[in-house]
Amino acid sequence: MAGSEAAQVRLEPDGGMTVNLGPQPPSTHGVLRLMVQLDGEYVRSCEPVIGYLHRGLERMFEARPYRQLVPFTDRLDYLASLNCNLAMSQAIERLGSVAVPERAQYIRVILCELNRLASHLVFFGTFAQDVGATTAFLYAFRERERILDLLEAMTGARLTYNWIRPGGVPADLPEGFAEGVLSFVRDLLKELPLYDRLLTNNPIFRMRTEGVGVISRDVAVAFGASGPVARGSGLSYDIRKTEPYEVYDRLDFDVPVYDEGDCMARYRVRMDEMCQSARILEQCFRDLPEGDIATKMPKVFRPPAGDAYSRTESPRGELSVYMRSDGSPNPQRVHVRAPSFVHLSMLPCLLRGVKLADVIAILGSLDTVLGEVDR
Amino acid sequence: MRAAGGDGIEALAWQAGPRQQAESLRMRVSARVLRDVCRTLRDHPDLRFDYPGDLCGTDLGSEIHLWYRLWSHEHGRSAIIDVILPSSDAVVPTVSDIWPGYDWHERECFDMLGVRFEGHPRDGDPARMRILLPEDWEGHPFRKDYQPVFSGDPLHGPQETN
Repeated sequence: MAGSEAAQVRLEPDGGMTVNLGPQPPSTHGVLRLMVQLDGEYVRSCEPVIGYLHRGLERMFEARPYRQLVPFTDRLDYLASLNCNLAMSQAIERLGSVAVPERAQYIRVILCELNRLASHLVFFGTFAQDVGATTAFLYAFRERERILDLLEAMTGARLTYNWIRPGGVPADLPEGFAEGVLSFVRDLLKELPLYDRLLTNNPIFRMRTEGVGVISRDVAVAFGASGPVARGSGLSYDIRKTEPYEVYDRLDFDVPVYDEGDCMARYRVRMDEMCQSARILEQCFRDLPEGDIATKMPKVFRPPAGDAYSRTESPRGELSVYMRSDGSPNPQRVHVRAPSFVHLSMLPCLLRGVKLADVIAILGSLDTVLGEVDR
Repeated sequence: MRAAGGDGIEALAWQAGPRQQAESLRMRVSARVLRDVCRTLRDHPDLRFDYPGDLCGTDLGSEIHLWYRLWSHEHGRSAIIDVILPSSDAVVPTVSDIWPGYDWHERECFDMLGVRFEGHPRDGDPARMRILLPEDWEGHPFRKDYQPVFSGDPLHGPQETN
C-alpha cells in the first residue's frame, strides 16, 4: 500500500496531472486505488495501490488446523468461492495423500463449473456497465440468480459456500438438483445468442473494446497471465487441460483462444467459456457414478512434513495454493497465488499511453476480485 | 544446468508431478547463482520455463525458505527452485527483470517476510516496496517471531509500535 497522497487531483509543474482513482469508485469492483499520471487525456503512468482488503488470511491459516482452512477461502475470490474451496482442499489432500472418491470429484466439477458460470455472468454484466451499457447487467443477474438458487439449495449459502472440503464434499446432491441445473443450462444456451445481439455486436460496445488494452502474447507470458487474460492473447493455456485435476481429463470441452489480446478478445473468451461450462455440466450429469461422496478424514489431521501445491483453473485464471507442513496439526505456511494479483501487476505496463476513459474498460476486462488480491 | 550454476546448485532432481502430470524439475540453489540458474531455465531450448508461477517465502526459524515455481508453456512442465537464506541476513538477487511477473511477488515477500531482493526496482525504498501493508508499517508479520502491537481498540488495529 505505497504512495499515499490525500489530494484527489494534483497539478504537476510540467503541465501533467495526477488523478487519484479510488479506493471506492463503483467501477473497480472492489477497493482498488489507482494513482494515474495524466498528460492531457492520456495516461503517462499508473501506480495501483492495493491492500485495502488485506486481512492477513495466510497468517490466519497458520494458526488453524487443516480442516478449518476452507471457510476462509470463501473470502478470497468471493465471486467464485467454490473454486477457492477446491484449490485449498486439493493442496491439503496432496499434502496428506488423501484420495477423493470419483462421485465427489464429479460433484466438485459440477459445483466449480456452476460457479464459473455465475462468475462470468457477473463479468458480463459489470463489464458492460463499465463501458456504459446498463441493460446487460439485468439479464446477467437474472440468470445468475438461478445459479445462486441452485447452489443455495445444495449448500445453504449464496456466496460463501464452504462446500468443497478436504476428502470430498459434505453431502450428496439434493433432490431435483440435476433437473434444475440441466434446465438452467438449456435456457442459458438459448440466452447466449441474445447476449450477442444485445451487447457483443453493439457498435458502441465494439468501439469501446476492440483494439483497446492490447496485451501481446509475449507480455502475457512474461507476467504470468493465466485464464481468460492469457487466452485472449493467443495463449492456449488452461490448467484443466495442461495439468488436469479431478475428472477434467475425462470430459470433452474446448479451450477458446483469441489472438487479438484486446478487451474484446478477453470478453469473447469468457462468453465462449460459458458454452463450454454448459457442455461440461451436461457430461457430468450423464457420467455421474454412484458411490461415496467423501473420504473420511481424521479429526486431527497430521500430514507428514513436506510441501505440496495445487493448481486450479478458477474463472479468473491460475489459482494455486502452496502448503508446507512440519508434521503438526497446523500448517507451517499456506500461500495463495491469486490470478487477480498477477493480472493487476500488469496494469502499469498496460495503461501507459491509453486514454483515461479506457482505463476502466481495461480494468474491467481483467475481471479482478480484490478479495484474492489482498488476501 | 550444472554448467550455469556450478557448485551453487545443491540438489537437482526430476520428481513426479502431483498427479498424472509430467514430472517437474526441483532444485535447491544458493542465492549466489540464482540469477544464472534462472536465466538458463528461461532461455535454454530444452527448458524454456517462460511463465513465472509463484513465489512463497516461509520462516523456518533461523532460516527463510523461498519457493519459486515456474512453468514451461512449450514443454508443459513445472520447475521448482528452493533457496534457503539465513533469517538474520535475508538477501537474494531479484529475478523481476528475468520474469516481470515476479515484481509484485517479490514485493509481497518483502512486505510479509522482510526478504530483501537485491536489484529490484524498488529495492532500498521500504515504503515503496511494501505492497499489501501500509507503507509506514513496522516489522514483517509472517516472521514467526512477529509480535503485533494493538492499541487496545481492535477496530482500529495497531496504532503505535512499542
